[in-house]
Amino acid sequence: MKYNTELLHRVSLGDEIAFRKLFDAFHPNVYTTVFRITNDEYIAEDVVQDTFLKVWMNRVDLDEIENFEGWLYTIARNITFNILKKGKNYKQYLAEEGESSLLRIYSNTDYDVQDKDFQNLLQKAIHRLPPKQQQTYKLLKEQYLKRKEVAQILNVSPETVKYNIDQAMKSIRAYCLAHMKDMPLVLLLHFYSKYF
Amino acid sequence: MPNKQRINYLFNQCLQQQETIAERGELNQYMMDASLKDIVEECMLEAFYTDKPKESLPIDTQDQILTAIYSSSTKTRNFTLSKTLWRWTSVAAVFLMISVPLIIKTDLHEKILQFSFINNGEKTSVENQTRVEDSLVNESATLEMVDGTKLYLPTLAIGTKISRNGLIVQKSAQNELLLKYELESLHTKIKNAHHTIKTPKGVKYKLTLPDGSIVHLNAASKLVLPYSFSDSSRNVELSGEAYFEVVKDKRRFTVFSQKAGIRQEVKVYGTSFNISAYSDDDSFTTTLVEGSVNVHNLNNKKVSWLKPNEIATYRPTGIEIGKADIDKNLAWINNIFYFEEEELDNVIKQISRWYDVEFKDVPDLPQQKLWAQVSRDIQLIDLLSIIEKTYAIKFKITGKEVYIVN
Repeated sequence: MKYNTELLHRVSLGDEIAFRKLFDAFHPNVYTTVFRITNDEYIAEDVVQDTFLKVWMNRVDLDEIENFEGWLYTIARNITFNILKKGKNYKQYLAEEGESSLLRIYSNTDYDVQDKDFQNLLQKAIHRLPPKQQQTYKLLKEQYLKRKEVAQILNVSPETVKYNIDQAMKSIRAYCLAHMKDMPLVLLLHFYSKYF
Repeated sequence: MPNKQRINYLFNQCLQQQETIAERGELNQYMMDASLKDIVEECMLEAFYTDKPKESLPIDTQDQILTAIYSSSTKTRNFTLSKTLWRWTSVAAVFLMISVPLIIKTDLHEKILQFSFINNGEKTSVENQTRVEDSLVNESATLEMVDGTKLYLPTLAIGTKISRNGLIVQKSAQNELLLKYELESLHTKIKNAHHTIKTPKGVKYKLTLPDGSIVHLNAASKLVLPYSFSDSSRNVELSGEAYFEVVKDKRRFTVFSQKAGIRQEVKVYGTSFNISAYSDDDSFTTTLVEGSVNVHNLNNKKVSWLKPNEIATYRPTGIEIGKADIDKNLAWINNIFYFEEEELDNVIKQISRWYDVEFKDVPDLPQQKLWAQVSRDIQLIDLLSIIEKTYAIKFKITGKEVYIVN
């Protein structure tokens, strides 16, 4: 067995080392399965993050879950289909509105980004980022600079810019997901990271 | 219309990475087909259990995901006590770098000579000196270093900073010390070398340890720090009582306590908890405020995990976990005596630790319980008169001794 009740109990108490062990034990299967089925590594990565975020958020109840593995896979499956559905809608939307709509999404004038609550949440998420990530995010995502340009401005390597923006996007996604029941746009943030 | 078998087959082809382009296209079509939703979802769940070569995410990505998850949660619950706690200590903690004459002397006798000015400059007799010596030893909070150097903490001016034996000691406020390791001591490992901080009866200290953790050391207590923390652990030893706010880092923080029949280790990574380990109490208690700790019974190697608001009571017979009364167990930090259905026995133990008195002729009155919440600033005589009203007893104070008259 890859896990035991003691490990789950420790996670339920908020033990991050135990959570890491749980993550190590289960994320490869979640990642591989979703990657093979969707043929999209970005979706698979997001599913892993969203799934384990849900585990962490519900950790106090872990003790009461009888079949953890089944519970975990059900969550992962539901998240996968959710993302696929949103992705389909989104691609459709892009096809209808054209690529320029992306810019409008980011300038907060279109689509469900108009949602005030979501805007507030997004701003909060950005504010919570460490300074380096915040700078990187703003230059890349709000000022539409290229990665190389950002690297020059911040005087770091393009790899560092990539690392910082990856972490920023993940943190924003996790924060928004943790604080809103349904997060249509943020679920799709990885699309943006691919386009910009 | 495809049947479940067909969809299962396509799933498997993908899982084994053997699908053709046509099969991939077929599956994509089914995945998006609302009328097949139930079957597809069922197959997907089965796919998780199918045997397949597995890949992990790159380590960087794993770390990023975990960081994102941990940072997403709303700030950790603020423990209400800690907001009001120690407010008085934050008053004007001015960090002046004064160079003080070294009032640290290994030789106690020299210390006493320096101290004679306390008696209004009058020359003190040898007998008096002995008395001062006794009272210094008994009443001062001290920090004893590896080499035997003893700092008498009340004699240090606020702001004083002393660097010795690899330890930087700064008195940041009344009854507060900031402790840091000097860089060189971080790279030196000396076994069985310690620094010891002691509080006398009636005096509490707030310590900031070299790792940033905060320890509120109650009266009549002792905290032993190693010469340096290692790369993998932060080990301290406690006798008496302390409230710990341990800063999270990768090194485990361990508090060791022992007395006859009881040997305990409390291990944590980052959390807030209280340990009471007085040798004259029947038991050691560990109260968890937030996070998680495990309490090791070193006698039988058993480990107990504590959840927030739980208390582990360790008697020579073993460890019991129960629900904690945080207000009661941590009242001492707020400078309050908190007696709730307390037996006389426990009441006088707490009083004698705070007022430095000894009770004589204590009767056994297990039926009578005391309920009271009283500031620790109260005069001993006033506190005793409150207690007299509960128990059918009278106290008589004679010097440092309190006699109980039934």
